[in-house]
Amino acid sequence: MEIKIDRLSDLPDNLLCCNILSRLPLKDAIRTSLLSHRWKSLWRNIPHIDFSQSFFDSLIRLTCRLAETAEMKSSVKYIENVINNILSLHSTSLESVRFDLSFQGGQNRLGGKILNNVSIEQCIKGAAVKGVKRVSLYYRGMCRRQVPSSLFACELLRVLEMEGFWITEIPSDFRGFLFLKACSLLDVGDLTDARLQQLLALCPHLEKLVIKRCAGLFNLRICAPNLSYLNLGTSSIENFTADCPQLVELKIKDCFMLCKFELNSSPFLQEMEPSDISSLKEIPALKSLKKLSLRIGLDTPFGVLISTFSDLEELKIKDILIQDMVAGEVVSDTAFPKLKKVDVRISSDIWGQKEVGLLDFLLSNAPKLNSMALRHAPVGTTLFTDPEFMSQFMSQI
Amino acid sequence: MAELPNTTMANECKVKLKSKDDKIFEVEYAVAMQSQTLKNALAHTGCTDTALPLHDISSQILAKVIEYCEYHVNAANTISEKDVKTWDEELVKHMDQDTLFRLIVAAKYLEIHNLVDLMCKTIADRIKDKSVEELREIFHVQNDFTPEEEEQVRRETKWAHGE
Repeated sequence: MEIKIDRLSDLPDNLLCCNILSRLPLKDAIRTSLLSHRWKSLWRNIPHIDFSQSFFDSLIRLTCRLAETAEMKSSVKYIENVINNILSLHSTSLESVRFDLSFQGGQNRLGGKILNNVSIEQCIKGAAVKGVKRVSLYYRGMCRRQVPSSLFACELLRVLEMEGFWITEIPSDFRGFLFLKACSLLDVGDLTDARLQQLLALCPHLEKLVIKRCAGLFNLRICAPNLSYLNLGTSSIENFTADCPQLVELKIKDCFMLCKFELNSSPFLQEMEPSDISSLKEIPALKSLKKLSLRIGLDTPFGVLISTFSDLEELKIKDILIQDMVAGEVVSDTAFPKLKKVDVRISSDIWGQKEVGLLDFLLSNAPKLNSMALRHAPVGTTLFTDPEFMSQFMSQI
Repeated sequence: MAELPNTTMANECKVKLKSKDDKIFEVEYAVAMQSQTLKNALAHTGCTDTALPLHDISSQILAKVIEYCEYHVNAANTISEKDVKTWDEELVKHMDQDTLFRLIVAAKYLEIHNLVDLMCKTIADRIKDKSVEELREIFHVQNDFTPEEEEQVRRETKWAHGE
């Protein structure tokens, strides 16, 4: 005989709320409030609220069902009321909130039009009052959305993620995100150099920064005393200066216009993925680099590599178009004395002399090499990581 | 605090656990260390021959906990994350509700965080996409609202109960 005990409700508050309800879609979590008195207010303490695509999707379907001809204005108002209601019913503190305003059914459909008009201004204001620490705003659509000005009232923000918005104006009373630790700006429009400075100027604790596809930036200057991770992928940037003494990892991709690049005193820099190696010639900070990934075509002779990265332990070469490889160019006996791991991907169809020359060069100048992976993009991967093979291979040279 | 100082001693130490129904289980030190509670207890006592009493955990549940911990200790560096995940999913797939809840209480008491997370995720999956009536049925939750109270709660978040 089955004993019908309600063990679920017996679980401690903390477990139910932070470990179970927080894993549910918002709607399911809130629905539990109808179960019993015990459950009535449990959902209100969930640490983060995710207004996901499916959340908005089901709301839009609901509004379209409630009215025969879903009138735009009333549908927009309905949705705004729901999200504001949720924020107001929620408890006094909120860790993080996420909005995904990309409509699944496509922008031209009525649903997309409704969602495009829904304002999250008040909702974010509600989150700011609750001391929200993490805000994520996503929008993937035909054109960008205006960032709500109440975002700048979230003074306790530690993590900010934004994609598909534009920042036309930063409120004059904005005092800075003083506690910001991580910031990700993807596809953010109207982000001028000045506006970025204004946004990030007062973030002494910033540790991680990602800036991609923000086409308003030209002269980028990052002064961040605690920044350890920086990822840039914006084709408009022409000049880039980094004053980040704690920088450990730097990625620069698709910065086709970049002609001037200055890296001031980053002694801890370990990992780098630059888009063009020729701009790195005279940067003393790179002496300590341990991991290097090269993405774009290499026009500079390997001599640059040798003189710049003598401490290198891991080298990854992707999409290399070997133009001017000087085979067997050796500057000194131990050109890469610490190089242990090499990963090479070559796009050319034929494994030709230049490619072999590259391998030859690496093998001759890296006495500690114990792992080499050779890949032929885009199809298939050949992996040679067997040390026995390597020692055999090397003995043949 | 007498924490086991060197690894050889740690390797040889066998930890004894006594279930609610007085059954003794013997586990490797590394397995016991998956539990923060046991870790703290052993830091005080050092390696001991006395069985640690677990008053609220039955032998059936303790066996399952040990099964989980043993697998995860062995899988640590040898089995791919993907395979470990599959194993975890198999473990809970057909688990009856009663065992599920007893297991989560045990895991919480023993502070085995991975296991707690796994159990919570499983419970969340069983709550998802169900109506309130279905939830009451499945989890035997007693409705202690008066009709007026229920109506008020329903009105507050009407959109959530709509579909």
